[in-house]
Parts: sequence; C-alpha cells; structure tokens
Amino acid sequence: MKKFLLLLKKELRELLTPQLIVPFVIIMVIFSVIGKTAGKQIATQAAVVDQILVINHDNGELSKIALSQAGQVAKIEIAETSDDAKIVDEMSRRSISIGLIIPADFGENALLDTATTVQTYSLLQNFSLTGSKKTSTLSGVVNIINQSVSNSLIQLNSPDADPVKLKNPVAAIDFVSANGKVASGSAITVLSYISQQTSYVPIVLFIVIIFAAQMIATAVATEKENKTLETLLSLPVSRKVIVTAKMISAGLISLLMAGIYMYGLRGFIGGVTTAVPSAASAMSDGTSNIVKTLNLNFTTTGYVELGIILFLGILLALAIAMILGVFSEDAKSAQSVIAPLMVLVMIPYFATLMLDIGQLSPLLRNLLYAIPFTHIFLATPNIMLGNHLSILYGSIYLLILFILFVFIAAKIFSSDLILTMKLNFSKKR
Amino acid sequence: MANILEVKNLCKSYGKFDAVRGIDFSIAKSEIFALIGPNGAGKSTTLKMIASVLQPSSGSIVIDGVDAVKNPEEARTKISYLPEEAGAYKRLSGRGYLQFMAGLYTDDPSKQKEYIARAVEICGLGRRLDDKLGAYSKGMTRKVMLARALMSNPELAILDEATSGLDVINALEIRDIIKSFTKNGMSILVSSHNMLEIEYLSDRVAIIDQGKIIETGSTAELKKKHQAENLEVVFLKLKRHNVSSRT
Repeated sequence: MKKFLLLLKKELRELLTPQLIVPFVIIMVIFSVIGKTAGKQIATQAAVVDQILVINHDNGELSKIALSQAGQVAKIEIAETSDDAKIVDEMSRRSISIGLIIPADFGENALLDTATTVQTYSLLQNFSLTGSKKTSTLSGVVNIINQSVSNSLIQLNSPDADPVKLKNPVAAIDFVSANGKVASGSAITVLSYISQQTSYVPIVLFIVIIFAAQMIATAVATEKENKTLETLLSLPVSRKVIVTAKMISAGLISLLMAGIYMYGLRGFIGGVTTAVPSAASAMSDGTSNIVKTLNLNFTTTGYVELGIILFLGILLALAIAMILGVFSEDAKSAQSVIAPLMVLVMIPYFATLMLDIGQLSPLLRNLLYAIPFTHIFLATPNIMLGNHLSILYGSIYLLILFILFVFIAAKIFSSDLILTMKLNFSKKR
Repeated sequence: MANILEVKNLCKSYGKFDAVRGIDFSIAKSEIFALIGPNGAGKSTTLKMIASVLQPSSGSIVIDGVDAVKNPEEARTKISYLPEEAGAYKRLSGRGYLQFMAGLYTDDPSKQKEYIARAVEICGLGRRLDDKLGAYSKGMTRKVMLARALMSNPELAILDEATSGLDVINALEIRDIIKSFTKNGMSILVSSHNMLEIEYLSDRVAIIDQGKIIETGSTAELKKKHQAENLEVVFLKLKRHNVSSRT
C-alpha cells in the first residue's frame, strides 16, 4: 500500500504541472467572465424594442388598427419613401433591420373576404442570437396584424361575438405521463426543464473520458520518452501496482480538469443563454412540481447509479488508453494514438444527443450498444425514466470490458511488449 | 562460496533475429564481473533479462537462489539495475528522487534513512541535491542514478555502461565508487564497450560477440592466454578467430 501511495503521489506530481493547469484555469476563468459579460450585453440588447420600417399604401381603418396593435411588439417607423423598391435602402440608411409593406388594397380585400398579402423584409447584418430575435419580432408583427384584421372582421359581421372565443373554441388541458405516473402540464415545458437540468451531464462525461484517456496515454509515453521506464520496471514493485497508480492518478487529474472546464463552460453558457428570454426556458415552480410528481428528478439512488456507471466508464477508458499509450514512443504521439478511443466516445455522444436510439434499426441499435460508452451517455435518461435494468446491464458490460482490458494492460506491463510495442509505418528494407 | 548469479543457456529472440544465443556465466559474491563487446553484441539485452525488464526466450537465471524467470518480483528484491540510458523525473529534486526510490525499495523508515544517507554520500553533490533533476548536468544525473542503484546495497548491482557519456573525471569517480562497494559484499555485473575501463574495474570478464560469449576469464588470464597487452587486443584476436572459424 505504501509503495502504491508513493507511486500515486509521483504520478500526480508528473501530471499536475503548472504548464498544464495554469493556462487551463486562465482560459476557463476568461471563458466564464466572457459569458457573464456577453450575457449582460445580450440582456441589454434583448431589452431594446425592435424598430420596424413600414410603408403603408392603405389609409383605411383596418390597417391603422392593425399597426397600432403591432406597436405592442415593435416600434413602428413610417418610411420616408413610398417607393417599394427603395425600402431596403431606407432600412439600411436608418439602421432598421425589419420592414413591412402594406398594399393599397389591404383593407378593401379584407372586407371582400379576399386573401390579402403584406410584404416583409429582413436585412441580414449578422448571424448572432440577438440578430435572430428581430426575425421573431417580424413574425410577431405579421401575426398581430393577422389577429387584428380577423378580430375586426368578426366584430364587423357579429358585433356581439367574442373574436377570441370564436377563433379558439377549443382549449386543451395538457397531461404528461412518465414512470407510470400522470401529471397535469405541458410535455414541452417538462422536456425543456429536464433538458436544462441535464444538458451538462453528457458534456461532462465526454470531457472527463477524453481527458482521462489523454492523461494516461501521456503518462505511459512520457516514461518511455524520459527513459525512466526501464528503471521503474526493474524496481521491487508489482507491475499491477504501477498500472493501478497510473490509472488512478490519470482519473483524478481528469476529474479535476473536467471540474474546471465545467465551471468555465457553465459560466459561459449560463451567461449567454439566460439573457435571452424564451418561453421554453422559463423554470416555474409548477414545472418542477410536475417533474417531481413524475419521478423525473434525480434522487440519491439516481446519483449513485450515475456515479457508478461513470466511474466504470472512466476506468474502461483508462485501461484502453493505457494499452494504446504503450504504442507511442513519446508524449506527442500519444495524443494521436488514442484517436480510436476518441472516436469510440464521440460516436455514442453525438448519437445519443441527436437520435432516439429506440427508433433505430436493430442492427444500428445493437452496434451502438456494443460501444461501451453508449451506456454512459444513455445513463441520465435511463435513470430518469426508471430503466434501472438498462443501467445495471450497461454497468455489468462496462465492468466485464474493464476487467478484460486491465488484464491485457497488466499482461503488457508484465512482458517485453511495454518496451518493444510501437507503431511503425516505415517500409521494411 | 555459492554464486550470486547463475545464467544458463540464456537466449533472446525478436522474431527471426537472435539477440542472445545461449549465454552461460556465473558471478560469485563480492565479485565484479564484466560483459564486454562491441555495440549490438547483446550485452544490454542480457543485462535487461537478468534485471527482469525483458523476458528470456529460453534459459535460466538464478539470483541468490531465486529463479528470476519464474519469480521476477522476488528476484527484483535482490538486484538493482542502472540502464545505459537512465532518465530522471525532472520535476523532482535529486534528494526527492532518492527519497522516492528509497520508499520503493523498502517500507522500513529506518532503512529508508540509511539508503538515502548512503546515496547522498555516493552522489557527493552537496547542496545541489536539492535542485531539480531537470537542472542537472549529464554527469550529475548519472551520479544520482548510480547512487540510486547502489543505495539499497543489493545482492547484485547491474550497471549497464555506467560511465557512458561522462567526462574523464566523472568517469574515474564513478569507477572508484563501484569498486568500493564490493567490500560491502555486493556483487556487481557491469557492461561496457570500453575495454580499458573494464580492465581497471573487473575481477572477471566475459567477451560477448553476436549474442554469444566467446571467452571468459580474469583480465590477467586472458591477456596471458592470447598474448595481448590489453583486453582490446584480446577481443580483436578473438573476433578474427571467430570470423575465420565460421568461414
């Protein structure tokens, strides 16, 4: 045990260099600060009421009422020009990104029950988040004009009628079910709430696994590069102890790096996204109560299950990376040697992010399940949906693979292969 | 007196290439035994097998009664190995490195202190021992490595090209250190392609060429037998004879 702790301390010291930590911490702090600063700027910009440039060829009451109601979502600026062809020029000159042309026969066509059209113009000057807000404003204006005209027409024909009730005679009461429970509420808000709570989890898993693999492969390759490996192998220390110390130190460092990374990333994304108002992102007490009723929140058991499967996944990645690291002759080539492992992590990461695995063909689904890291990325939804058997089977699968790869790693470390194994693509003469 | 090392019919192959082709020799207690030969003769490979860094393809290695092929972990408690190109953990100080190594040799704190004290004496680096190994010169690093190899007073110290790359003064110092340790009962197996250094250092010599030992004996015996002034001439004569007997 003492020798193991001594080796572990040495490995941690070798990996935890100022050259690694300091730039990383600085970048993450800057990341977080930029996020908060950008968030404030976005919030400021989002609070500004958008302007819309309007050419109104129709002087009737309908268009006037419609524009007055549209003023709730945008500041109406009447164009100086009456030439439709020059609206874009005036928008550009007056720095107004959205424009609207109401034709002369707008009111007349509406009263005759004939379809009438308005022209909308969007001036694309950037592709930012706040830039897209102006497009929503334009849609909002057109929607309000539509509602206003239809309400006016209804009142004209049926003065006693309530236009809102006439247009929406049917109201829906939403229910959502999960884990055998039913709660009153919208599925969209529940999904949005869960997405906000769990969107970081796959990113954390991805980062921890990649960092862990890089650390261990570098640890092995550095011993070769610095010519300390032969001395280490000749010491009265069990090879298993050497392997374990390297794996655990790499795992600990990767968890630390992941923690720092998540602090920075959370700060950046949190700063940027919470500044943009969105109906789906609003977290209400009601939504969290629905989630609790449906047992979709993470309990202690859920955290334990997630912790176990993540731990097994990291161990497996370490074992594979250790074997791959043996192929490299120095720390630089160690980064490229672990590329196959990175692919094995990235495929399930993106697949689980974008696809419903259950809807894939059996062949594709089984291929994905064969990749051990798929079970880690599926862990969060499985835990929330009470699929504990899937967690169990995934954990067992990871454990079996881990034991197999550690056995292989220990065999390599106990043999000549640790010294002689290398990738060599040069032609043999 | 029982031999500290018995090597019998030791072979090592890498695919079709036979690096070591049936080597037999033994080392007595307190003896300095040298393996000499040209580059690529199989010296380092032989030493690595004895140090259990490489596994023999066949043959036996018995160190102080322990079968090193079947029980490498137990055998490693009896030996200490200094590779030809031994690197250091650059972020450790010299003293930190020796403390780390002492901890790996023994769990007993009093023995660790003893080993470190011995190593500090061997190094002779004084206050420089508290500097990072990354700042050391080649000679200083090699002294620390040698101190590490000898500090635990092993039954058998295996030193591969102990003075490789060192200047004359440092090389002389290291040779004297090596010679002094046999008085403590330690046996030493050295390898070198520097015949003159070996002549000064060793009690017995085995000349190895192309994976086989072609001659064994004390320096005086070999020089007399082959009517040579020094071991270099002995080797050249043996090499010529080896070549002509094959053709």
